[in-house]
Amino acid sequence: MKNISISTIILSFAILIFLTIFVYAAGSSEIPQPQPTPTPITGFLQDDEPPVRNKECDSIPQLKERILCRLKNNKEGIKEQVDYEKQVPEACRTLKNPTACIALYKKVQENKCYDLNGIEKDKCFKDVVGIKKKLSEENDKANKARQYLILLLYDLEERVENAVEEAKITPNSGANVITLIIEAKQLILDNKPKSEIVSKLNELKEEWSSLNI
Amino acid sequence: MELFEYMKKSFWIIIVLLIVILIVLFLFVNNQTQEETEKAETQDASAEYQDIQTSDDVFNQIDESLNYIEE
Repeated sequence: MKNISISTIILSFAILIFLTIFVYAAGSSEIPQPQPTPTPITGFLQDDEPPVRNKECDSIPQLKERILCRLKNNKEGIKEQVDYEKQVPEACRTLKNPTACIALYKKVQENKCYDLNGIEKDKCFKDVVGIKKKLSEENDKANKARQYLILLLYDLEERVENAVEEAKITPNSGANVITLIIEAKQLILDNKPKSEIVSKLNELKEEWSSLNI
Repeated sequence: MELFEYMKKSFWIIIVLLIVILIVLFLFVNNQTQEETEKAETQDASAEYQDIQTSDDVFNQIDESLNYIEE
């Protein structure tokens, strides 16, 4: 009788543990959220297809000419999803250690912030940067503000690229503005003082006002 | 007969233990959900999100963020 009781208890536990797996799995599974359709982010080069034209752009030494080359490619329908495992974003190229910069771009791409609009877009940016309360109340607010600025400037870059594709502005005008945006981002990422950044942003605002987009 | 007794005993032990485990799991999941909700509420209440629609909105946010960059 004693043997039966022990084996009964052991068997009961075995069955229960087995059943618990299903109960826990059912309780912890997530409902998949509908994801917005990813819009390819452009502006950087990709090593794969179409190889010839983009490699041609990448080998151009001047920043503005490189951007112009890509804008022309985009306009002709050669638009690609950027793979940050293979390529370094233009703004990160001049950095001594571009790892954190590339990680920021990767994270914002993964979160698909640029597919969102309005408050959702801002929330997405702030989530990526790690801003969880008012920026003024954040720890390390200067660094977070710099990262947030990068994402905002990238948003402007996207708007210019779209305007070029929709033939609202010429590729040349677009290249002028994007060059200023990238230069501003480089200053921000390089931890340059505020005065230098503001000066570049004023140039950008002036150029932007002539675009009408 | 012995087998019948054995199965009868096993059945009730399983039922009781299953109920206990279900209650524990329910409390655990419920507690976690509550913590996540509280966390999200705290975050939403303290963070300020702006409506970014036009390029003017973006420039406004840029100007605002510049206040937090060191001179």
